[in-house]
Amino acid sequence: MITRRLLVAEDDPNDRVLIRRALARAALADRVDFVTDGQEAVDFLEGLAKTPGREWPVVVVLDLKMPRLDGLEVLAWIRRSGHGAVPVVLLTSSSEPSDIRRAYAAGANAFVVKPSALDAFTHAVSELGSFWVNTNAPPVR
Amino acid sequence: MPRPSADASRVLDVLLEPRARPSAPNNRATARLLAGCLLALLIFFGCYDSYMATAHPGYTPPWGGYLLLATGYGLVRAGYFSAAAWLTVGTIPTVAFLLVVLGISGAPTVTTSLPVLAVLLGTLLLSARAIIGITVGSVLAVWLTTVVPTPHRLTVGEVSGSLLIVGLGGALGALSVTHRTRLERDRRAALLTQAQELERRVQERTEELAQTVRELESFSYTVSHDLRAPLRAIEGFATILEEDHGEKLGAEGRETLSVVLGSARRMSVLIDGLLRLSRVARAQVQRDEVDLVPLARNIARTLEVAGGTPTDFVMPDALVVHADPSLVATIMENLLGNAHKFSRGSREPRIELGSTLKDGERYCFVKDNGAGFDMAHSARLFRPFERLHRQEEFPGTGIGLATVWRAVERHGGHLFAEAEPGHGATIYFRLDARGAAPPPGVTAREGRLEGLRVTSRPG
Repeated sequence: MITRRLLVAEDDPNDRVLIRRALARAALADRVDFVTDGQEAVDFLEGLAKTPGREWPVVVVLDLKMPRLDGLEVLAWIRRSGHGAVPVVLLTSSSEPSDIRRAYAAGANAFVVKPSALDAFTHAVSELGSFWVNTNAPPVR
Repeated sequence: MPRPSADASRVLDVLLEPRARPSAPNNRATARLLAGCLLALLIFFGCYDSYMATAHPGYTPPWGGYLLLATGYGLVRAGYFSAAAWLTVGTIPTVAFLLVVLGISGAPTVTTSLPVLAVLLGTLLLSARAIIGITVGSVLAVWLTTVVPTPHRLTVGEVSGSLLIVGLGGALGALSVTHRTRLERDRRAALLTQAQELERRVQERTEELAQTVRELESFSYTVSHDLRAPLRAIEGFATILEEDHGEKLGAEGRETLSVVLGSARRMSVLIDGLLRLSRVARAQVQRDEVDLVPLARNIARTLEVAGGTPTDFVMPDALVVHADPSLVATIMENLLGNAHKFSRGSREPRIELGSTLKDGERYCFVKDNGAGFDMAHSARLFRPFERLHRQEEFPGTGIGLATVWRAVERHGGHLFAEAEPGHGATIYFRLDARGAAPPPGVTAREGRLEGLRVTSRPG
């Protein structure tokens, strides 16, 4: 059995609770790692890369606006660092077209606007999970 | 009265300034020339004649001299005299001399103090080249007097007389040009100041506008990002409370919680509407051929799914407009959504999309047979957050039609409504940029969003 591991970078503690709840309800991943800002996400992935045999996340979920490094900066780092073509999903409050454009230009695989209703939120998280975790073939490392 | 030296330098400027001589003199220039000639004649006729009449009994008026005088004045006055043209001043005395020789003119000796003074003044005001021209012409004329046979030979004084007259005419013309130039300069300076003032104001406004756009952008960013997060927490955690602890809350507690949830949802809808409005307000219009009918069919299908009494949608085969596709989609979603909302309660809901001529212009329209409204309130219809119906009757944010109005305005188009309570409403709109005008009743005071508006009113 392959472990399905997810990395979520989210600075809002409330959103972390909601995401955790939504992911648990969708029963998508075996393990979800939460980091609270962009720099932590980079540190986490660098740590993973240095440890042989450790499971790489099947998808990285990034908030757009975070302290230290924001979502786009983490995304740029991932794409630059050679740590693989791991699918990156931006899960954010913003529905600004400029943010969406910039995210895709930086190499995002998906851009999901956080709905405010919990049902819709769960739905969005499970939808993105069912595609990126179950349907999509993760990059071969 | 300006100092003479200032005047002199101005005349010099005028004379040395390469004047564009009209290739085909128009009527106005000719009229000015004639007027100048006439004026010069009137001024000098009396002055010169009265002197001659007293000094020389049996004196014949020197018509040739008058003609030359008038010509000199008129040419300068009409703007034909440039510095280069002033060289001809030197040749004019020669012509004068010939006229005298041929007996057309009386060829008098002119030594009155008035013309001398005038010529001195004229010389002072003339350019160096003009003076050289006059000198050369005089020398030539004096030389010619020695060639002409004795009976017709003129005295040096007589030739100087002709010269003086021409010089006087030119000087008078130059003076009038100076005056005209001064007026022109003052006018131009005033215009320039005005233009600079306008330019400055336009720049100021542009800066203000850019500032407003930046503010609006950061505002909508704040709305979308920072206001949505706590709202999501309220809604999410209230839901968790309801789901996980609902039983412990009791009926009253659950009721209270549902108010929290409902309000949070409503605020979320408001924020979304506000963001859509601000996005439409900032949109760049990129026109393309858009058929409203397939667009409307899709929206109708979505609305049908939403439920209610089945609505009869009436549409033509095609309704093509030249407009921005995404703004048109926003317009159609809002108009059809409204029509559907307000006609849902009717016995046989019917929504019609079509086009018609209104005041000679082609308007598209969306017509329903729903609740309608009182035309007395139509002025408020397109303002943000204004609602003509109670929330319990027809829920809504009051942003939809404001967004439609803004989308139409971005096209430079026009829209208006016709309605009657209980008999439905029709919204007419056109998206071509001709003769844009604000909708009826909407004045510059548009509503609470005023401070955030980034575009000027049409018309």
